[in-house]
Amino acid sequence: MLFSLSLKNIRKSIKDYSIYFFTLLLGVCIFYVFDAIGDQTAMMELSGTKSRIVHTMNTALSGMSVVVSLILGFLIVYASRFLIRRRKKELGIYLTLGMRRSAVIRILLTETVLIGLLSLGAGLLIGIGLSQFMSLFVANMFEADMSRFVFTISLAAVGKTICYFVIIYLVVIVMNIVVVARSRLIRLLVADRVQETIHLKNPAVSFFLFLAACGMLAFAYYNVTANQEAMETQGDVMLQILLGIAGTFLIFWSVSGFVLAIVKKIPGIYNRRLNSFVLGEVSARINTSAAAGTIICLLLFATICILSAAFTLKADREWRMENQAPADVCMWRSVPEGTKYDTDESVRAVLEEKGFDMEALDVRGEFVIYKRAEATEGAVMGSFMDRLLEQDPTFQAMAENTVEIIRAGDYNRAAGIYGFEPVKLGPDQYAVSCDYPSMQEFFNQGLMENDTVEICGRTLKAAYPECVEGYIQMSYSESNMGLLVVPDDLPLTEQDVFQSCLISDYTPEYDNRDFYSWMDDGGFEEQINAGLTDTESGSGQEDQGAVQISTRSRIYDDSIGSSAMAVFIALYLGFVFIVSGAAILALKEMSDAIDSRGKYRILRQLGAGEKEVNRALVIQMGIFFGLPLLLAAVHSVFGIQVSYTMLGIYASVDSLPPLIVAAVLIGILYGGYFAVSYLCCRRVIRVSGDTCGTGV
Amino acid sequence: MSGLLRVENLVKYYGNRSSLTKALNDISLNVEEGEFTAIMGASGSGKTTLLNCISTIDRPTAGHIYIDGVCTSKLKRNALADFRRDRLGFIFQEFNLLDTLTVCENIAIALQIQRCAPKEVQGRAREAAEKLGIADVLDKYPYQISGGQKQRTAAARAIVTHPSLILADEPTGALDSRNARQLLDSLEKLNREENAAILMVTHDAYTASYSSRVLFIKDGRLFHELRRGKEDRKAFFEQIMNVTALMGGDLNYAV
Repeated sequence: MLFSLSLKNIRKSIKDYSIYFFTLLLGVCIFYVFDAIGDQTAMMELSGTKSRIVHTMNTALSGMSVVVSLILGFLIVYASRFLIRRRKKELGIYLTLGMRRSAVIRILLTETVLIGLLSLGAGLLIGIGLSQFMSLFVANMFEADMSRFVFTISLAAVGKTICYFVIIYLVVIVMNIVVVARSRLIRLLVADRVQETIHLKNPAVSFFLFLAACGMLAFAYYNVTANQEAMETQGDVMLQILLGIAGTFLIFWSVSGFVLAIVKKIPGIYNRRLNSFVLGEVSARINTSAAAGTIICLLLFATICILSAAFTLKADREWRMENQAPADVCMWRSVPEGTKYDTDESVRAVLEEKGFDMEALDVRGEFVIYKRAEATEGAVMGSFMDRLLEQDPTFQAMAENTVEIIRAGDYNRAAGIYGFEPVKLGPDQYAVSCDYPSMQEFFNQGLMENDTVEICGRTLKAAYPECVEGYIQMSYSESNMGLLVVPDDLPLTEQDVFQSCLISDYTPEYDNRDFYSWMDDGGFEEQINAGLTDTESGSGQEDQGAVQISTRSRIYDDSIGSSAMAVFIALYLGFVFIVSGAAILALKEMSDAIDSRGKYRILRQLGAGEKEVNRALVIQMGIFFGLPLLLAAVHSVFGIQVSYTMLGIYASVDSLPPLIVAAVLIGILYGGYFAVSYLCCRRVIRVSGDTCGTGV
Repeated sequence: MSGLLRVENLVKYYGNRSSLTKALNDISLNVEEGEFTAIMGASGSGKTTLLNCISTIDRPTAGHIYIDGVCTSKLKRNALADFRRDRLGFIFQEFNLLDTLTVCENIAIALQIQRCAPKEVQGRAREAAEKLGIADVLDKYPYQISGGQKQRTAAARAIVTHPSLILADEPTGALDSRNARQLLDSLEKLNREENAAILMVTHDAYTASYSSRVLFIKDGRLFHELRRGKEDRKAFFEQIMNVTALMGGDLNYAV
């Protein structure tokens, strides 16, 4: 008997609370799809570099799953509490009819279990379906070979999803039991009669608060972008974030007060169609929605930033792949300092000695890099470094660091191979080449204050007022920390040699995947550096004598892998954030619509047609969905700049396409929620329309 | 084809074959322009069903209703909404004001639904409010004013669009006697000065005595009709009381 009551209730709730069900379904589905990636990638054939990154990504994703399950758990518990509050009267009637509390609890229990099973089952089915597309996407992102399509079901992910969601549903059940056990009958029965009085806000106060909120936001915006350098401590940054949150809340809180007052003065808008009704509804409800609006706005803001940053990072890495790896391979080897350099210490000599197949290389250039004790960063930066040291003694290490030196002829040869701008030096002139952003700033400042440096007893003058961009060692990001380019005739001795470098392409016979794999995944390391470096951890980077390599294929795999990883994590978080935010909003809209049924009935009785009533509804919901999005978009204009700085993306790529991708994804998900909740709300207010007047 | 409202052989059944309720059983009546008509009956007599059918909120099972010569049972859903909007004014027992709007805006919304030019809205709403003596509470919200003022706001909303017919469903049902008298005075004045036709459903003889004509309904059929003529209200009230006694005297049980 009770079971059939539960069944009936569910049939009713699935219709009434389709948003809740929709959210559960999406939650299960997203959770499974991202969890299953681990097993899917295990089946792909990937290069060593990529599989290392995939491994890192899977660890990150499963860590993220915990965070996500917390967010989803919070959302589901919130939503179910919200729904149970709406059903207080129904529960009250059960109790009045003499049903025991334990029986009522059993009804709720059965309902939760059934809905849980249903959503888990359906969500997993959809998830398994979608994850097949996901595996195509994963393969595409990692540029893995997907010649044969395999239908995969990740049992581990299924188990994990079930486990996490069962825990969430258990919490829901406990919460429901608490609600029923602690409730008093009279409260349950009169729950929907509690009247909400409308707190009117003083328009002047609202306006003032609105201006204050705008001021707070503008201040925070300024500080995180234009005034970035002044932000030194963690506390400063936290303060901007707090300012942002407070400003957002105040904007939601104050905006309705004075906008309503202004619009009221314009009869052309206010007294047209149902606008006065719409504005009245919005301003009455926005008071209670300010907190929810703030949360949703911040979630959207985070999503926009995360998604666009991830896609920009991907574009940036792709750009780098073309620009940072112009040669197939670059090798270098440090030699003992202070001893005489011998040609059999060069990279080529070592390769030949260890039996490396020189047929594979089409060598394009060989250089040596020097270091001199007097050419420290302190000496190059001069008085600027003195001032830095006064402010902060920890710069001492940097001041004493010797700078790598290269002859202009060698540097320009490398420039020719890599395709960057060569330098032109007059007699007794030097240049600083650097592309690592923060070091660039130091050197630029240094060059501004001190344009001379003394090397080998000769005083050189800077040929350029700023750093020139260039590098000798290829890398997947700008990592030239500073290189002094000096005239060829400077008497650098063989004692000064610090490093031997070799830049080469592969010969056509060796330009294939197998050879790449041998070079990148340990084969080369084993043959050349056996016994010299710890190949596993790669910590032997600076080991004397070992030949370090940087290959195009590895940079390529690294770029693809790391950007794909960023995209997946961003997608996962982004989806969950949007679903959470939109679901809270949609549930609130739904419950407001149920509360407002009577108002729409009145409007219909007064002769407002369906079109007019729907228009009123869509405008209201548009405002509630649109306002957080609008504010989040404004936040993002600044937030995205911050995230680019944090990720070290410096306007190398056009950031518009990633933004569009992010906007489309958000639009589909958020817009989908808007559409679904609009349809549900319309049904809610229409149901009463059909019976209007008769039953009263 | 004379008369403002013509109801011909109206029938309304509820329920299904096993349990059929004949809420209205072959009712015909006419209301002329400028008439203040009351429909009386016990609860369950079908008076509210009749009003709902006339007000196009409910559809009759059989029969025809003509308002201004338009047969309402032939109109489609949207056309019905337009018809309600343009020809009818409503006053409900529960006021049915929108609590998020001020008195003035509540009156204005009827004009806005009619797509009246926005510039005229405020002026016309004020004018209607003045007629009902609520000009001093125009900027208050429904929860800030008394029940009588609420009902007069609803009345102002009903007349502001100059409808052909004002339909009132137990307008004094939720009011105390003093507020009820004030409202009825206002309605009578509207009827007299603006020549507004009013059709009011009530079970209260006192309320009915303000009208110029009373129709009695019992078990879905027209039972009796009284016209006030030249008598004063008190004498008319006595007459109404006599009829209700004749009907079984159970009218007031519904109170």
